[in-house]
Order: sequence, then C-alpha cells, then structure tokens
Amino acid sequence: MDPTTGLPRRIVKETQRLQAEPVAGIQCEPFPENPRHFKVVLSGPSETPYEGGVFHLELFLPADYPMAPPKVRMLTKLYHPNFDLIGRICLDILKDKWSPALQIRTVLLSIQALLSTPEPDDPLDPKIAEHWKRDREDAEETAREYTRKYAVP
Amino acid sequence: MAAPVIVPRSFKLLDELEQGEKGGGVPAPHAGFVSYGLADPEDITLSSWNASIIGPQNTSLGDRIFSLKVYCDDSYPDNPPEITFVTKINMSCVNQTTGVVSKIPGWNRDCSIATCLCYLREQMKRASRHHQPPEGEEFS
Repeated sequence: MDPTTGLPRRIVKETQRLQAEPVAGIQCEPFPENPRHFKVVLSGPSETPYEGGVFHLELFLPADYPMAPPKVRMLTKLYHPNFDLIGRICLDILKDKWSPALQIRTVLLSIQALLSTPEPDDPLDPKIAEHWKRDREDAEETAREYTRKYAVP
Repeated sequence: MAAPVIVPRSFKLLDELEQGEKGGGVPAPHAGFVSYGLADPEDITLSSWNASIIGPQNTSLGDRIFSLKVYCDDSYPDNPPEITFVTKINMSCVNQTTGVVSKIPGWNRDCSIATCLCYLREQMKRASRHHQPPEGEEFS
C-alpha cells in the first residue's frame, strides 16, 4: 500500500507547500517510507554563534496532529541552553502553547528563532544556562566552537 | 482507509525514555519494581539502556535487584531489543554463560522496553522455585 494513502489532507497540503514555497534556510521533506516523518535541515541564523552551521533535525506528526503538536528532535550536537544532550527541544509551542493553527513551517521558524535567541531562564540544560547567564560572551564562544566542530555541512 | 500511523524508532524511544524517567509505562503489578534509562545520557542514537528489576514479591527472589542491559538496534521496534542479564539468574530464557535473554515472545511495534522487563519479572516467579546463584553474582 502507498504509505501516503489516507494521509489527512492537512498533512498533504502542508507537505506540498513546504516543497513548493520553501522557507529560506529551512529544508523539510518527508521520508519516502513514512509521510509523517520528516528530515529537516536548518541553516544557523546569521549573526549568531550558529552562523554557517548546518543543523539536522527530525520531525514527526503524531496520529492526533494537528490537535497535538509535532514532535521534533535536533540531531546535530550544539551548545544551547534550550536543547539537551539527546536533542530534545524546550520550546513552548511544542508543548502547552501548541495551537492547531500553527504548522510545520511555523514550528521550524520558531526553532530557527530559538537559535537566535537562547532563553537561559527556561533551560533544558541547567549547566549551559548557567554559563550563558554568568558569561554570555564565553558561552557564545563555546557555541561557535561546537558549530564549527559538529554543524559541518 | 487511513494508513496506520508509524511512530519512528527515535520518537518511540524518546517517549519510552520520558516514561522511564517518570517511572511510568509499567503496569501493575510490576509498577515500582522495574526501572530503565539510557546508559549514556549523550547517546543520541538512543541504543544502549540500563535496566533493573526487583524480583517478584513473596518469592525467594523478592529482595534481589537484577541489573540488565538493553540494546535497541536500528531495527527497533520492528524487532525486539536485545536484553542481557548482568546479575546472574537461573532462568530458562537466560543463557547461563552470557546472560543473554532469548527472544521475547509476542513482540510487536506496540511493545516496549517496559513490556519486556515486565515479561521477565513474570518469568522470575517460576525461576524463583529453582536453585539460584548466590545474590549479587554477575555473568562475565
């Protein structure tokens, strides 16, 4: 059976639009064997410690999407207070601030924005958050090192 | 007809990890007696896990804690995880040299690491009637 058979129209339309009108710095395409599972590549935003980096993520639309938020995980190692060591992301719209009016596109833009604006007051990694609050410049230097080392194109 | 929703390996394992962290995902009567978590908190592949099982209550194994290693390869959850007892136990589904557990019967994609651990704890009831190695010995 074609894996896209019976895929909700909303998901079909979002997928088509992601490909027809891609967002700058974001690539997102479904895996051929699972149309709810997407391979995502984000470019690190300019003028941030992530600039020049290529960040791989994966996204999954659960059975109750869009009533429930997509699940997203960062696969590239990075130094950022709102990501943990296995790529879980602390972002309100992926949790209690989710609304069915949001889309895959808005989620990925929000993750890009999170790279630009780390929120050490709502951390997933308390050690990195503490570093950020104590010496932001030094933390950003570490983040740049990680970008050079791990977020290689 | 709607195609079945297939939860990818990584997101299934992340759910299992979260349940394990909260102590959830384990049904009665095993809740509180089995636990599991990632062996390495930086393992982005989510492959190697540590687990422990407290023997079934009111049996000769009731006050023993068994350590296990659980390995989920790339084919998980199409295939069950590989489970190895670290703590010695004399049980028919456990290789007495290596501690490796023979394939868990009835596996399907809805099963989990917790399902396997509960199954093993259930099997321990029968094993508890057999002669057991001294407490705390490990398979080498």
